[in-house]
Amino acid sequence: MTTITTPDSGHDGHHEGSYLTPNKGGVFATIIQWATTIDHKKIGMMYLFAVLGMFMLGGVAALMVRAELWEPTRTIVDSAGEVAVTGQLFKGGETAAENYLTYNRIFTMHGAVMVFLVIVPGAPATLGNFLLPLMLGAKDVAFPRLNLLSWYIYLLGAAFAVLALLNTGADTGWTFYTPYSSSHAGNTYGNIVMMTTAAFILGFSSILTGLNFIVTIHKLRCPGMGWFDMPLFVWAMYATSIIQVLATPVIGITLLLLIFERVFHVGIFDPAMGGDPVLFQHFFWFYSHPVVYVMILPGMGIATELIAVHCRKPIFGYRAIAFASLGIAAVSFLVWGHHMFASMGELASAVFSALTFFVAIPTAVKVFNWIATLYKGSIALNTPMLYALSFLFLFSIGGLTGLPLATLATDLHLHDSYFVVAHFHYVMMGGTIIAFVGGVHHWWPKMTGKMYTEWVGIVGCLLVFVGFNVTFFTQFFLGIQGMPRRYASYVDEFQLLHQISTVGAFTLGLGFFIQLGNFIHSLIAGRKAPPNPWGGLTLEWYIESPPTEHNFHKEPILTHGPYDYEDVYPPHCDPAEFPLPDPKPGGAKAH
Amino acid sequence: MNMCALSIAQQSDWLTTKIFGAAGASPLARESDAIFMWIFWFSTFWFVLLMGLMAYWVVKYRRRPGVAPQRSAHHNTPLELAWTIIPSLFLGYMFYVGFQGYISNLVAPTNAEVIDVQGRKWVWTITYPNGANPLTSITMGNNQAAPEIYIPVGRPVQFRMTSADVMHSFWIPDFRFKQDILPNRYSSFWIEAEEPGEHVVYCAEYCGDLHSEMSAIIRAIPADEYDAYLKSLEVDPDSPPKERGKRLVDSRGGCVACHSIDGTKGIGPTWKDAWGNPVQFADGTSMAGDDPDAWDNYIRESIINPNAKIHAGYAPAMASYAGAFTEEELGFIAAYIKSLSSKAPAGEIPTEEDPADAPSN
Repeated sequence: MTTITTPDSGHDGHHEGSYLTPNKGGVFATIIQWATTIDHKKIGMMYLFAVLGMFMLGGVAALMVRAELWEPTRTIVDSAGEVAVTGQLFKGGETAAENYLTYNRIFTMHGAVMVFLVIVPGAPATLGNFLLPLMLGAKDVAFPRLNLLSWYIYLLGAAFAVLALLNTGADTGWTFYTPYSSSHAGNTYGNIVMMTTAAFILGFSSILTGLNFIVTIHKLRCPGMGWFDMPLFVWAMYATSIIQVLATPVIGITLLLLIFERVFHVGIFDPAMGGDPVLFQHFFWFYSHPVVYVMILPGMGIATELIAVHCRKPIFGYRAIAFASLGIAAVSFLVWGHHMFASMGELASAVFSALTFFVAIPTAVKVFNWIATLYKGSIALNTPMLYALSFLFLFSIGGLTGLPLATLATDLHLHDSYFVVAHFHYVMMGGTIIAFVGGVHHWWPKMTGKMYTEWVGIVGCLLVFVGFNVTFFTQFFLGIQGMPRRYASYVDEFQLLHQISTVGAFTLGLGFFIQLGNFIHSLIAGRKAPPNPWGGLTLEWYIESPPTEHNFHKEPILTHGPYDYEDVYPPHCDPAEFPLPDPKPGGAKAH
Repeated sequence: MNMCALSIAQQSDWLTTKIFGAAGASPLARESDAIFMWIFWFSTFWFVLLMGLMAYWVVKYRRRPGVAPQRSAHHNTPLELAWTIIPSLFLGYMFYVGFQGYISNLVAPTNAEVIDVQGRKWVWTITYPNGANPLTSITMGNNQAAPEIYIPVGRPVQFRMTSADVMHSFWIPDFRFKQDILPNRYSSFWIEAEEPGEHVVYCAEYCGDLHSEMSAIIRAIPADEYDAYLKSLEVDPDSPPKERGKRLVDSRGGCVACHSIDGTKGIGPTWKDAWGNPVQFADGTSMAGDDPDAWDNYIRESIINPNAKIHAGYAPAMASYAGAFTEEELGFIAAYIKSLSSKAPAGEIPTEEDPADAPSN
């Protein structure tokens, strides 16, 4: 019952190399081969490197922001006193305003790059592309050429964004709030248009990828795989894709309207031209809130896989997690207003506050399920699992600190303060990015065929975990005590907390740097990876590392669930290394 | 009200003060803190429970060579229902107290003192119930025009707020509340100071270059002093135009946030010698000559329609002040700016050193 399809090269004439084998025609031919590939694995790998590059760009911007905030630059004095100006990092201009403008551009760059170019496309386009067909037992996604098109659209969008940044950047914040963005922003005309155009273009990449995944999941599951035999990562990608397809057009239209207002002065959002700025906020968050779940759902999916494999346990409450993914996707469309408690009326605020609490429930259910999965497992504390545990820790804080933000009375203090900054970094970074990096460690052997150095991975993970908490936990206190977000300067009393946060940020940066080094080292000198280093049961572990061009040598037939760790020996593994518990009394099947 | 019990239980809490830096400045603020602390303890309970279980099981069930995982249930419906329903009840309560606290901050008592606040990049314009504007401002960082907003102790004060340009937000951390300020409608909330003191105000909605400096200070003073203060702000109709202009500039205009009167380069051009001296515009045109009407018109236009003529070397950063001043007041401001120029005709605009002693022509 355990045989699905094993690497059988040498037996029936399949001598094909891995998908990474360079083209025999030389370097140029290999480049052409990659540039025109319709192989989901190559496209996924190209996305991975692009996203890592963008992550570094956004990360450098983040460190610049933290460096600027090392010193307060502002002291409150009475009308008779002198102002103690301690100096500013960005001494670009003659006036304070010009220095602030630089700061404003840099935090905008950080936010826009991280959201539109890293987190939103991150997990779906890289791990999703690579793994979805493998986990379903398919040769490729449903529309391979469309997939290549998504990749080029992403590149085009990224090019626009980078051009906008090189051309002095935008200073609106990643939220592009009107009427500042449409009529008032101090930039020369083209940059905000270019930046919004970039986001507009990137939207199409998201939509096409989402569409592709939905069809792939519906149509390309291998024989024997019912909906509830799919790995939960696939369920998470399914929920993500639905949101991407339904929500992304709204941001496209909104940004187009913004460009119309800015360029052609069509009054939509600017009251000076007869528009309404709150309308923009509604439109913007109608997309951007669901997109928060585009960001976090894949992270949850990755964490689910990591926990199951490294605990060797069936996921507790499989169906609950699957339905929670869909439930979160559905409710995510109904809570956008909680970004606008300070600018909406009382009735709308009350309704959105109540609805927001509904999103807390399925999220909490998932956390309970993950922790219950640990019970009576066989838990390996390797790098991917440490990332999964970090994810549980950080995401729990991120989720729980959402409660005072959903509660109206406390939100109207914490809104737009550093508390919000800390909260969404715990969710977006502590949740999504940490799970994503854990996932990259988990599937790195499969993707590249190389093992990385385990102890370096653990050191990197610990540095990231500690650095992250030092950076952002302090920011909760900053926010509660009255530090507004998007400020380049602050009163002296906040300096200590800001400095702790900055030290944490550089520790975090060091952790990521070590991981990057570890990956590069593994590509050059890493040990060859076995097909199934972790003892996984999902289909990607049945094939070679790295997989061949067409993934499976013959169509696999699924005979067990994705998490039947109690009953099935993992493929390509020494059974002594992964022993099974005693059979259930009466031989009843566990599923 | 059920929140009272919470407030009493929490308000002297050492931890509350530790987290918030200082206790809230009003009963409503402390009520908000009490709700926060309640959520804090609720969250701490779940967090410690979950992370404790996680740590315990990770250690207890760590992988040992050759040892298999043990069988356990794959799901447990009663348990799953319990951990869905029980937190939901708490969340329902959280919503309820949160909504109550929010509404209490929004709905001002009918006897509240209404203070108008207008946000404008990057200054606040304050108008008291008697129509007067504050005359004093302080320097906060680079903001040389952070207004001092005086409020009476023990009397509810409602801020009625609107914006002249982009979105702003009026946040008073000590009172634990904020509302965004919109260019096309009013928003409001109210506070009541219990004792004299100072409270910082921040703009909490990103509004451009000097967002970081858009602040103000609220000074709570005894009610009788407040009444006297308001009376002292009333304008003497007999004072000369340039003084009335200076008063408008210092109080309602907030102009000095961007325009210096001593020649220093700010966000906008200085006013010193602006009137009557040749000026180069960004579009290549220029203006010179000594027709006083042309210069008065230039100043008027620069207030009403600031982007019509952009001073070379400056960004078109100023929003229109159309409607902010009456025609009469525009005249006063023009007179003031004129008085800052050495080109001002001595006969028309007497200066301090040269009192009105040249009536001859």
